[in-house]
Parts: sequence; structure tokens; C-alpha cells
Amino acid sequence: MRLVANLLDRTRPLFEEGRRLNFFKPVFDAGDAFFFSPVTTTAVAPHVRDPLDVKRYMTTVIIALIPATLASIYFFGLRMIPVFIVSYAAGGAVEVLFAGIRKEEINEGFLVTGLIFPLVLPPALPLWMVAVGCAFGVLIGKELFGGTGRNLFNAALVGRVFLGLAYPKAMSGAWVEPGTGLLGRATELTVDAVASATPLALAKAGEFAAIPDLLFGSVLGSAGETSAIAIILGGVFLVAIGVASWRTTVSFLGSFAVLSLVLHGGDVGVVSWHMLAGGLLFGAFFMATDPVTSPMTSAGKWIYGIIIGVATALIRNLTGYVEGVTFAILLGNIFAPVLDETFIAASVRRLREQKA
Amino acid sequence: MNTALRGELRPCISCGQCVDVCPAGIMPNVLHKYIYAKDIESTIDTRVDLCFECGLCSYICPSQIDLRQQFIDAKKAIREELEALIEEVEE
Amino acid sequence: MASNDPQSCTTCALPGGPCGGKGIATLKDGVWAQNPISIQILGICSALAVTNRLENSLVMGVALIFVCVGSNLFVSLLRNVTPRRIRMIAEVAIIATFVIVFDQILKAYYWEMSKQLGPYVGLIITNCIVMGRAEAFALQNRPVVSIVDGLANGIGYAIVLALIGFFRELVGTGAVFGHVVMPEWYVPNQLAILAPGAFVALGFLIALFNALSGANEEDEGTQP
Repeated sequence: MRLVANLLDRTRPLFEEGRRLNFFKPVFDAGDAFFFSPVTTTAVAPHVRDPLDVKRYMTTVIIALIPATLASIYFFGLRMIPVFIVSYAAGGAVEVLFAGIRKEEINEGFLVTGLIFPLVLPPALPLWMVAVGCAFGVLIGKELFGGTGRNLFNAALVGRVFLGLAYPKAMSGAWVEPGTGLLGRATELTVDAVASATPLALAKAGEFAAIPDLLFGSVLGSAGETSAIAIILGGVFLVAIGVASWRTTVSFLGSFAVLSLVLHGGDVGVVSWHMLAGGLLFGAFFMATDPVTSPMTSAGKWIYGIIIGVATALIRNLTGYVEGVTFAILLGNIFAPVLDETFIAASVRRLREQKA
Repeated sequence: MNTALRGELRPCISCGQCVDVCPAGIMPNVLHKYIYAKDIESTIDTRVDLCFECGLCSYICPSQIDLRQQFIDAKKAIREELEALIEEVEE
Repeated sequence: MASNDPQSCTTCALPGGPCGGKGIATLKDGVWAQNPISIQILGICSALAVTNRLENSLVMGVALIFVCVGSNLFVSLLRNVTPRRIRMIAEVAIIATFVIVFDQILKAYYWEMSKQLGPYVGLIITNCIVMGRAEAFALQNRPVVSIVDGLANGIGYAIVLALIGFFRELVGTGAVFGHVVMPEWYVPNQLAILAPGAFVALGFLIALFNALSGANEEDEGTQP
């Protein structure tokens, strides 16, 4: 560790104002903060602070994603690892570029975006498409709105919609037959892309995949969304620890279940099948709960979840699309500021009557 | 226990933890955004005066934003503006 | 708007020239400094709708130049005899005449193009650029300088449309004027020829124009 500390101290002056490498100061700071805790101390009261910072916040999300990530490698092969690397590299490059231009520090948000993004893509997608999609999502979905904390849309979903609209053929023909047995495909370096239909597409034709397969995850689908058990494992951890809001998840899944029950004439079997299929659980636990793009008021979160749940059920059952989670969450993101505005105004009215 | 800042300053990510802990029942994250935008009228409307500077929001904030200090400064700025206004009227 | 300045004209070098000495300035304003799309953000409905191919964009640009010049000329000629209260109706009638003339020409000689542009040629009647120039410029200026203004704004519109059309066709189909120019490994990005691609392209173009003319804006701020 002393070696690293010496290296960092020796190179630190190179990144100061006016020196040649000043543009890359965010990279240096990020490396510094990765190895050592910052030496700055509190300037104003209170002088004792909660140890949970944004970095820990994002690390928690990554820990919660580990089961789904491992499941994706098990089912769809070792090729997932270069996909993750490419996604991080492309998203990170845009992030570094903007941090350098704005002279801000690198934000940890892209650690989550870079991992979530490949998990919502078909597993056999060409690597350059992953890179283009991630760069587009981070650039248009996040940085142009002002970076972390100010983005209107979930960056990973913007990237996914971009790829879905730009390369529809590649996106619908990049599925992989899931691996089976003790090691699955976790020993295979290459995969064969197939263009067969996902469970949701088959369900439209009246053919339902077995529920145990959906739970375990051995069905066709986006890399990280197939295994319901892995997602629930990570998602419940995330909700229990308080990083993801249980209000969003509950209202999303609840409103989806209720509306589906109505649309399917009270058939509990079909509805519980729909709850496990596709990206619904992944969206409900990991995508819709993104604190930046969801409303900040509790009441707003309830309505936000209901909007997404209703939109998902409507898109899945009444339109030509087989899956509607992506569009539904982006639609919910649009409503988030309006909901906040409404409920903050209500709170302000309540506060105004309070005596000082 | 020490006075190190655990983590660097980050933009508000709207996690809502400050609202949950605030004993005065105000919304520190909303106030923070109004103060950031220098929107004094909305800051007054959202009742910055109810803050009694307990510092719980600063303690809990994962982005390490000095919310308490911002509210103290905002209240001072509002007070000064009001005093200037009163003087003007008296003259 | 003094149009009978005695100073010699920079455009035609005649003292008290027919354009009132504002020819070059008017031209510059319309094409660059006050570009109808990238600066005033007018008429972007048609700019987004027809720019999926370069050919369409150019025809649309030509249509707007034709209509804008024609309507500006006639609105200017009639500016002293048009009663103020019905000037809008008069303007719309003049604009509609030119639009229909162009639409009929297109239908008679370029049927394929006319089918591709669909209703958008007819919709030039409601294009705020044409109406805006007639209302804001032609009503107060002499015919010659009004023609220059119509030409400048039409060219400004056409340039932006051509740029968007060029990029969208290139990225979306890998072609220019329908001829494939991108190498074989290039996978067309179909988002570019859909409506969202138009918004993204227009956004980047406006950002680019603003960045390029950033210095001009500051200059204008310091002038009295």
C-alpha cells in the first residue's frame, strides 16, 4: 500500500491547475479516493457524519446486482465479461470527458449504469453496439441534463431504447439459449445468437413457459432479467437496506398485478406467470427505484409506481409490443417532476399554516 | 470516531433521507434545490425558518452536503433583506 | 426603418439604392445571425418531418425560398394599400397562392417527390417563417429589400434542412442522395430516420451553431 501512496503523492502535482494533465484531475481524484479515504475533515457542524456516502450507496446497488450478474454468466456464458468491460469503458469515457470539461469529480453513478446496462440487453449483442448504446445513454440521458443528480431519464434505459429503435433486427436476433447443468455456459467463451421468440412473445401466441424455468431463469431473455430468484434475492436486499424505495416497488408490482387481473378476467395463474416473465421484476427492483429519476416525495413515489405498473400492463396486453417495462419506466420518469411539483406544493400549503 | 468527511461532496441524488429524519417536518432536499437556484421566495415559502439547526440532515446526507450551514446562511440572508426593507420603509 | 437613406448602397453601390443600403446586412441576418431555425427555432415542424432524406430536404428548402421570396415581394408591394385590420388575411392569401403554385408544379413534373413530401408542401402556408417575415419585414420595407430578406431566410432554412437531411440519410441508411457511400461493414442506425433521430440531430446542430456564433452574441450584447 505504501508503494501506491508514494506513487499517488509523486504524481499529484502533475494534475494541479495549469499543469499538462490538469484535464485528467478527475481520474486522479477517483483513483486516490478508491485506494485511500479522503483526508478532508468537516468544516462546519455537525462534525460527526454518517458513514453512508454516495460511493457506499452505489456499491450497495452493485452488491445487490451480483446474483443477477452471476446468473447471466451462468446462463449466457463468459462472453458477458467482455460485455461488462466494454460497457464500463464506453460509459466511463463519456463520464471522464464531461468531468474534465466541467472540472468536477467523477461521480459514482456510472458504476451502476455500466453494470445495469448490459444486464438489460440481449446477451449476444455485438460489442460495438453495447459501446454505442452505453455512450449514447450516458451522454443524452445524463450528461446533457447536467450529470448525476440532474438527469430526467434513467441513463441505462435511454441507451436500451436507443439500441432498440436504431438496430431492431440485431436486438431481436441476439438471444442465447440458456445453459443447463452444473456449470451452465460458464465455461464457454463464445455463444451462438438465435432469433427465436422470448417467453413473452410466445405467451402472445398462447404458449406459456414453465414457471419453475422462469423462477430459475433458464429461458430466453435479456442477460440479467431471466432469473427471478436472483433478482428477488438482490432486490429484497436493496429494499430492506433502504437504498431502493419499497413504495415504488410495491406500487409498481401491485398496480401491475391488479390491472392484469382485470385484463385477464381474474386468472391468478396467468397473472403470476406475467409477474415473473420478462423484465418486470428487474425493472421494479433496480430501474424504477433509481432515486434521481423517481419523485422525491413519498406520495409521489406511490403515484409514480402506479403509473409505471399500469402502463406496463397496458403495453403488454393491449399493444403489438411484447414487453413494456422499458417504455413504462421512461414514461414514469417524465411524470416524476410533475408529481414532485404537485406534492411539494401540497406540503408547502401545510407548512404555511404552521406557526414559526 | 473522528471528524473526517466520509466521502466527497456530490450533487443531491434526491434519496429523501433528510426528509425522513427532519424533526421540524420540513423538506431539506427541496430547500437545498431552491437555495442552489437562489430562489429566495420559494425558500421562504418552504419554511426555512422552521429549521432549528439540529444538523441531522447534514449528518445523514450521503452526498455530504452541508445542509444545516446552507439553511443558516439562507436565514441570515433573508433576515438582512427584511431589515433593509424595513429601513427603506421607515425612511 | 428608414428606407430612403441618401448614403450609397453596399449591395448595388448606387446612392440611395433600391434596397436602402441594408442588402448585405439583411442577407447575413437571415442566413446566419438570425437564422430562422437554429437561432429563432421557427418552422421546426417541417424541418423535423421531411429531413429523413437529403433530396426531400433540398426540395423543401427550394419550396420555402420560392414561397418566401414571392410572398415577401407581394406583401411589400401591397403594403401601402392593405388595410391594417385585414393584413393577416391578405398575407395568408398571398402565401397560399405561392404554395399552391409550387405544389402544382411538383405534382405536374415531379410526382414521386410530391408523394414523398406528402402534406408538408401544403403546410408551408402555416409555416411561421413565411408569415413571420411577411408580418415583421415585408410590411415595413420596400420590395427589393423584402426580396433579399425572403431569399436570406429561405436560404438559411434550406441550409439547416440540408445539413440535417445529409446527416440523417448518411447515418440512417448509409447513403447520400440514395447512393450508398458508407463501407460495407456499416450497420444503418435506423433511429436517425425516425422522428426522435430528427430531434437529436436538430438539437446537436443548434448547439453547434450556438457554439460557433457564441462570440457574435457577446458582441451584440455590448453594442448600444
